[in-house]
Amino acid sequence: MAQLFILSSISLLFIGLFGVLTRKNIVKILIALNIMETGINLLLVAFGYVENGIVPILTSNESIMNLTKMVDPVPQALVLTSIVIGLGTTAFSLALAIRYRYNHNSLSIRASEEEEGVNI
Amino acid sequence: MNSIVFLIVIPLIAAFLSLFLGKNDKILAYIVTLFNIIFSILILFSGKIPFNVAIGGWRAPYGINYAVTDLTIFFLVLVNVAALLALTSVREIMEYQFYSFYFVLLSSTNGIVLTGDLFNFFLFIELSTFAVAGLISYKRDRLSTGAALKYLILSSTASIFSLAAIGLIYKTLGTLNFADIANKVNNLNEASLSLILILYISSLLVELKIFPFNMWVVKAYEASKTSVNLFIHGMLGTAGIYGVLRILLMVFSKETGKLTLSGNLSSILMLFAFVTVIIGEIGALTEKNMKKILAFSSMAQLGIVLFGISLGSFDALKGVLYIVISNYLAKFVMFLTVNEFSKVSGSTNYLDMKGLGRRYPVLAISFTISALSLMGIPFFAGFWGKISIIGNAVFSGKLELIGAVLILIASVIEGVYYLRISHTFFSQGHEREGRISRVYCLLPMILALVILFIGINPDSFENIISILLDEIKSPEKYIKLILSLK
Amino acid sequence: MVEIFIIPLVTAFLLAIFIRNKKVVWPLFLISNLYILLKLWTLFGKWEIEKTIYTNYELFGAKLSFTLSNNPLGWYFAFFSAVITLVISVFSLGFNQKTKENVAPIWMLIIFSNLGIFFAADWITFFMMWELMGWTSFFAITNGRDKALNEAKYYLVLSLLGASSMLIGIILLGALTGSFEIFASAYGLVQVFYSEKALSIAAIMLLLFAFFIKSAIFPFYMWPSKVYAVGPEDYITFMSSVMIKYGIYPIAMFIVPVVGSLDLPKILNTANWIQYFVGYLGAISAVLGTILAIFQTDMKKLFAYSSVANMGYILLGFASMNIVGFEGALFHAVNHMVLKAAIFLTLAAVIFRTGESEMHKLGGLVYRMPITFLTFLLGIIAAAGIPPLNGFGSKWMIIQALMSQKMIIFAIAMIFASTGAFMYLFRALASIFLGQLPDRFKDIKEVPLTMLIPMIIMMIGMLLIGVVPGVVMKPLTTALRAVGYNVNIASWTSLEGALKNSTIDLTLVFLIFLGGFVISAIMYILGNKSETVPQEDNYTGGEYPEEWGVNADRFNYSYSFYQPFKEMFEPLLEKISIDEFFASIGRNFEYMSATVQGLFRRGEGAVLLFSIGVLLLILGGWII
Repeated sequence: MAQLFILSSISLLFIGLFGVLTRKNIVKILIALNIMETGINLLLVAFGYVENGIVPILTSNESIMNLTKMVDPVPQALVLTSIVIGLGTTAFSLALAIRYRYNHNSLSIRASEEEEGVNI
Repeated sequence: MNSIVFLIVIPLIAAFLSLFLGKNDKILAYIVTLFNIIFSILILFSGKIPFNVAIGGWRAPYGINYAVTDLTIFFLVLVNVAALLALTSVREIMEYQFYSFYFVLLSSTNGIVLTGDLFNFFLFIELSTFAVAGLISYKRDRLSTGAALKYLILSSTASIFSLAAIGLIYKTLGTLNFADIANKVNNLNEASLSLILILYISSLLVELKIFPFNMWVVKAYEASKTSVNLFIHGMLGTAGIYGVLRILLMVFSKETGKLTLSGNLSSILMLFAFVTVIIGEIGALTEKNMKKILAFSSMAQLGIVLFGISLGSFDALKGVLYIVISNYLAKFVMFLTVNEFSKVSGSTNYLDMKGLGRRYPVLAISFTISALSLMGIPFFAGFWGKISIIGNAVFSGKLELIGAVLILIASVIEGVYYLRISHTFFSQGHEREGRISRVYCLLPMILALVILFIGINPDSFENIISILLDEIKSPEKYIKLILSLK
Repeated sequence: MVEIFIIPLVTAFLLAIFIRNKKVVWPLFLISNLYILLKLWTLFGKWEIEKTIYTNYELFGAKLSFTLSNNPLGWYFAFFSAVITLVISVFSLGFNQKTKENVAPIWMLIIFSNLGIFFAADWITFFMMWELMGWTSFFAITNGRDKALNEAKYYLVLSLLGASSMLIGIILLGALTGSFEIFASAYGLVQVFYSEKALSIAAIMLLLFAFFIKSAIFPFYMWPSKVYAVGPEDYITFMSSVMIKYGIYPIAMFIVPVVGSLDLPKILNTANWIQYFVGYLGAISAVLGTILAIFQTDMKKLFAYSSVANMGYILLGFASMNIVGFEGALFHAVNHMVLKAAIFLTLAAVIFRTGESEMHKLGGLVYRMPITFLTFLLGIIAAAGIPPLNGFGSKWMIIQALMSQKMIIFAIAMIFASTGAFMYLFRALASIFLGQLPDRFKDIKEVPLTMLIPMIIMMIGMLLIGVVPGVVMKPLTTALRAVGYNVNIASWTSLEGALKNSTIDLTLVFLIFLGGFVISAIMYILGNKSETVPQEDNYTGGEYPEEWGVNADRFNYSYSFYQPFKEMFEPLLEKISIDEFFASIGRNFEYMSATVQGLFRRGEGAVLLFSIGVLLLILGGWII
């Protein structure tokens, strides 16, 4: 089961990487970046997975017996932080993309290539 | 001493406050930066170094801890002093976004230097990426938005790789604390250590501007205001070097303090390093825009730093520290000089600045001193670094010898374009309006005098370096400090 | 002894502050040089003086220390270069009246590094002073004028390359012998040579590379002609007489003792291969320098190649590995300083008055600038090696040494170059001073007094050294004896040769020449009175060229002076063009630069290159 998670997250990672490398539209690149981030978050959670594990919440006094069967909560905490970072990055990049569109009149990342001649 | 977090929290609060303060933002910036500097200097002289703070009372390795050791305090002071010096180059009224991004950058670079936990490190690097992207795009013109966007995309991709590495570390070692990883790293087998290191180093090298990870550098330097250049160079660059020193040399090394990657990996790193040097110098050779020249030159200097680190001997590390301080001071002088001269001449093309050295000889002489230090000419600070690194490289092996020869050739090329710029400053130019007040010439002169002083009298700096090297040589003291206290 | 080093630094600082005030700067420069000379005079004989500065800086596990010591050979070079510098600084008082830029502060720094190079006792100090001299001379050559930039760039690249090679050589030497001190490392190198043959030879070659670049030996002989043509003329005098010797001094201090102590096998029973290597480079420099000098039309370039040829003679003297040759080479170093300074001062005076440096545009200046002409005449007689002036003694000693060591080819090369020198020396004399005076120079005057005094001093110097060579030879032999060579202290007036029973008493030679001079003077006075005719009558045969519509000036026979000779040697020189080689390297670097800039210009291939980087890391870690 864990293998499936890891495999799918790595494939998400590569899909995202492919998108970042080949797409020209900035919004598409940002979406691909988001896919990559999702993939990596999934990878982190999958690293903490224990087979047939239970939720890592202490519900009653006896739950402490099942300590070893609990799924690792630390990666889940890391992932929460990472999701928020991804949120911030995406929001900021989109704002930048709007300004980019306003300046270059196009959302292609190749548009800023013809800048020579503007500034020596 | 839980109050160590003030170094990070106060700038963050100020970042929010600056949204409301309008015109008084600059004063707020000076107050907060001065607070940071005074606080760090107080820590330096309080005699309590090294000490360890467990945030929130959660003991390491379960919680995050901030450990202040000699290495940390050295870089902390450097980062905060850089912030203050760079602030002095902000002349005009900036909008509130500038200052809030600046505060975020200040707090995140302080965090990078202070932290003792790998995920916290990742977090602060992400924060600094934001802040730098915002600062680059402050000008909001074509060049800036393009550069900022590309930097953001590249940096996000790199940090995703580092997150993968963090996940792998957690899976194999079960901990994310620097000291704990250093303790347990011997349990890893070679292949997984290599994989983790490859993924992690890739993101570190983006910060360090090593080829082929450094496509963002030239555009970003060209597109931003000079004060932002100083921020990136002084704060982010220094924090990045601290990160490499701490992580590569103390956390992931199996022997004491040396770079012990698998043999081929360190060779590839060395290859990247001296290729960066060559590409940086050759790229700057026919360039006319001063900011691009300084960008290429920064690339090359950091390449020399990485080359010295990957040589794997402590003598070379000593040279690395000299080059770090020489580059730090020299680039400050150069950026400040370019700032002043470009205001008078109206463009950043160095041919337009012809003759300005005759009117403002102090600035031009400071620039020449910095250039000579970067070239590694004796009687200036960079020489001691160059002789250590080249001396150690000549005998270490074939690849190192080739690297040393290429670095020497690269410094010859560096000499050509820097001295050409110096000569242009001192040649006869035409009259221009616009004046540079004497006050602004003072800071470059002081920094250039420091370079001269370190160059003539290396003993002053040597004592500091031996303290730092002692710490790098004994990571077990670091481990003991973090894992046993409190 | 420390005052000798502090005074130039303080003076340089003061000169930089007062840089706009010419009346303060150049007298201050003069006084500094006077002080340095007096201090050096008092240092003669006190060979034990030493000053060491200890540092905490560790290299290869040992703390570095910088030592300056009054070593005899270094004193010899430093003293005589200080004499020449003093004379040039008197000249500079007058020369710089009209210039806009001021080269004095940088020049003072070079004088500081000058003393440092000669008095350094360990390689690190030597290297530091060498690099200081390298970059400051770049600024001195360009001196704020744009037209000097390209040539100065060429010189800078060569200089920095030489310094880099010296750095690696010094590091190798330090690792092989365990010490950075010059004498100790020489001794150690001899001990270690047989066990680590390749590394020792590599160290020697790397050091020689740097020294050859500085002294303009083949194949690095192109830079003097480029640089001397564009630099400020009084500084160029210093550069061509003193600075070009910087490579000669360490060869004499280090390479010659080391090679002399080694027991290498002899080729053809005459000399070992290092001697042949150095000797051939010297011979090629001498011959090539002479030939190229014959082709030049710019007088500064002509004498630049003459300097290259003279450095070749000195190397031939070293290659002979004979004590007479060694003494002759070092004697020639000082002689060359004196006569080159005299010649370049003359050229500077001509340029000061006329602004021209192309020889075919000048002519007939003997009538307007007689003392300049006299200095120049004595200078070229000395340069050609004709008694009773100073060039003769040293060249005679070198040829004696080469003959006694049976190095016939080198002797032939030297004699060819030495006599061939007379071709270009005479050409310079004829083109500049003899011949027809162009109309536009009808009213130029002789140079002012402050510039005449140095030239007269130089004339006296050349004559003095020529007649009484002991003025230079006595200090030289005392110094050599103090270093450890087994020489006799030379006498005042006679020179010893290397072949049996060959000694020359130069006073006798001088008296013979004086006798000849007196006889011809008597014949001149007793002969018929001379009649003054206008200049044109001499060569237009009484015709008036204006009748044919041409200007009298056009018939000045000094353009393309040696055309047949040039045609003879042209094919040879086109095949081996070192200049083209270096220029093409420079061009290639510039192409590469444009490519790299293009790579970084786009910026959005960033992630692609990042991924390639990660792939490379993975490949490197796992496959290789």
